[in-house]
Amino acid sequence: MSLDTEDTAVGTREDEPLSIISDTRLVPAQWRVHLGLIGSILLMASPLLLAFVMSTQTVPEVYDITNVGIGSDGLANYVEVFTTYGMASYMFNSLVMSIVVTVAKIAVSLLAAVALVFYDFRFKNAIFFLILFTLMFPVPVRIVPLYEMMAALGWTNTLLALTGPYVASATAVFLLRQHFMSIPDSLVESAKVDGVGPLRFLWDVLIPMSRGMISGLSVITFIYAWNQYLWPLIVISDQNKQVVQVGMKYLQSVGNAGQTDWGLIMAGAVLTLLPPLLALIVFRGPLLETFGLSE
Amino acid sequence: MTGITTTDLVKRFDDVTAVDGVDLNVREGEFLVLVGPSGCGKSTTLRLLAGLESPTEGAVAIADEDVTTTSPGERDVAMVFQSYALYPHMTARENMTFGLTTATQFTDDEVNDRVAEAAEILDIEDLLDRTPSALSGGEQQRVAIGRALVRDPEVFLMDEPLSNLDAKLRVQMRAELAELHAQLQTTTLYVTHDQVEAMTLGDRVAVMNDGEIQQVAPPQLLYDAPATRFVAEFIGSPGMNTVEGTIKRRGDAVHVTWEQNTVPLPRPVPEAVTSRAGESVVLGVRPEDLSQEKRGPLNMEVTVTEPLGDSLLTRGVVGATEMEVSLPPRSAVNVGDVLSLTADPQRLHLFDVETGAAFYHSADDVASEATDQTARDAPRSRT
Ligand SMILES: Nc1ncnc2c1ncn2[C@@H]1O[C@H](COP(=O)(O)OP(=O)(O)OP(=O)(O)O)[C@@H](O)[C@H]1O
Ligand SMILES: [Mg+2]
Repeated sequence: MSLDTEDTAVGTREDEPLSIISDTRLVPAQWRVHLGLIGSILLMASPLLLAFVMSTQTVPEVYDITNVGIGSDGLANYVEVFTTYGMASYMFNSLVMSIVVTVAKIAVSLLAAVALVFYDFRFKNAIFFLILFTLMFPVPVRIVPLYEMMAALGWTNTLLALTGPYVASATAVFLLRQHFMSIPDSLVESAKVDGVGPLRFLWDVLIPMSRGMISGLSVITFIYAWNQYLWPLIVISDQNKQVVQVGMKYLQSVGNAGQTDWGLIMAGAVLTLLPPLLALIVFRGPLLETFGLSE
Repeated sequence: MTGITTTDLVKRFDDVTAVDGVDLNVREGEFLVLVGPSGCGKSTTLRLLAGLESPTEGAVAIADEDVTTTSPGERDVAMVFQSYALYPHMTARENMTFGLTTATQFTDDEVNDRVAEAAEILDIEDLLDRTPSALSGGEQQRVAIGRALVRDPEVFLMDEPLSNLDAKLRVQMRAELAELHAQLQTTTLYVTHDQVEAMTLGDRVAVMNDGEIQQVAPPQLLYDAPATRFVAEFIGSPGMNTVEGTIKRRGDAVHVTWEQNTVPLPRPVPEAVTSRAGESVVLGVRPEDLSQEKRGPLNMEVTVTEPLGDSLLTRGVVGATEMEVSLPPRSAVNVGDVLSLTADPQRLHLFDVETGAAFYHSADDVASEATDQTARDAPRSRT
């Protein structure tokens, strides 16, 4: 290498237009990349954007394919789903269901993970694999026997039936177990020598040390529960106890003269989207941590 | 009496016997250091005392009470870990009080007083509201010790608490630990693999090897009258030179010889030695007890010289045996030289070839003291 350092530096700049050099030019050096990125984002966001646009349109405007601007209905559809079609009560039911599922699932999974990591008992690994095995049987697969069970218990059409099947979760147990295993043994032993009991250790040491993991799991669980459709549809028969995803279906039958009122449905869809979106935005930090993606 | 006594303690993990029949007696208020090479079972012994492992055989008593099956929390011991084991999400103060607030015998005021007192002793008053991540290694270790202090336990158990610190800080903390113990007089068992730490800190030092206690003695005695060949080679830096030779008796004079080298034993030679005339023995002599002398009885060919500043450590071969000798600094010695050496006749040790047990120390005062100590601590090693 006979090049001096200055030459090398200049060469790098010219030869590699994609090199990541932050500057303040109006059109970034890598504009082609940016164009591609913007294009793909628009493509991915298009259903959402269209939903929002349609939620502001009247029925004729929706059926006019070429009309993709903000419609003339304004927020009227939103007001209507709330006032006439009981969206508020669906959303409230969904919120209750999601919160109950989240809290119960985290609590049960925490206890299971603590048992699996910090206690010695026979067949520990077998039990753990049995728990993992349940991953192969998600709720929809178990719907028929589950429904029979709920009917036998007399739980149908109640919150218990709505939330019960979601409380145990192999994923949450697995993630918490892995996290607990990364906690140094000496912390546990120190607590033992100091006479700190298991529940206090869980509450004052494990939970605070797993805060990120627990909030990440909570967000995932919350969104998962919020998006449930099939099971609520089957197990809840009263319309006023129904959750928002099923409530959306009721909106479908609203339209007049055989024309579905898409504006109304899209307004409902946008509203349904907001709570999970909010949860994602607020908890994005811990969520990334949960998946080991944070920097 | 708040000492610790173990009786024939054995711990086996599957195929490994980590602790093999340990009878240890830590006296009330004593600072006993357990030292030995890596993997000899020191930590396991300590964990057996803390109750973190349960023994395969044998018993543990703390303060004259059999605690073999008692849970760790009820043994009234405090443990300091090599990794400090501080809770990362708690401040130093919370770390120190966490174990305390469980034991409900303390009111809030008492807890505060204790923390304040411990913080003052350890000089960490300004650090109490920081979390461990905002503390240096030495500061973390102080907090960890503080956590043990506030509990005011019967017994302190420490597993290599200083080994994560840099050399300078280690020396400083060592002095502070010694001072702390002088002040508190709490019975302490301290585990380390560093024999300098062991010698400087211990009221007595227990040397362990392969799961067995080799010798328990005050540091100087351990150095002057090692009970076994292992202790002789392990204690001291560098350890004692040992060489296999034969006892030769010519009239009154007794020598140990190997190849062309001869070391005379000082008179009078005790019966224990003369009775073995003609047998193989292991002769031990420390590097600092060898010195250059014209026409001395030992010839060493130098292979390595290590100037340590205050002395010149010289390694070489005597006959076919590698030996080390500590010479005055700036001695004119080069690799390849043949040095003529003599051994201090008052500083010779003989060990049994088979068992490694010492049967002769040429310094008579030391020899008798060693016998006393043995009598006091029996039963001890099973070498
Ligand atoms: N839980 C365990 N399972 C199996 N073997 C173990 C276990 N704990 C310790 N051992 C073995 O027991 C022996 C003694 O281990 P120990 O930790 O007591 O050594 P040590 O003297 O503390 O060593 P070091 O100075 O390296 O800390 C080692 O051979 C180790 O591999
Ligand atoms: Mg150890």
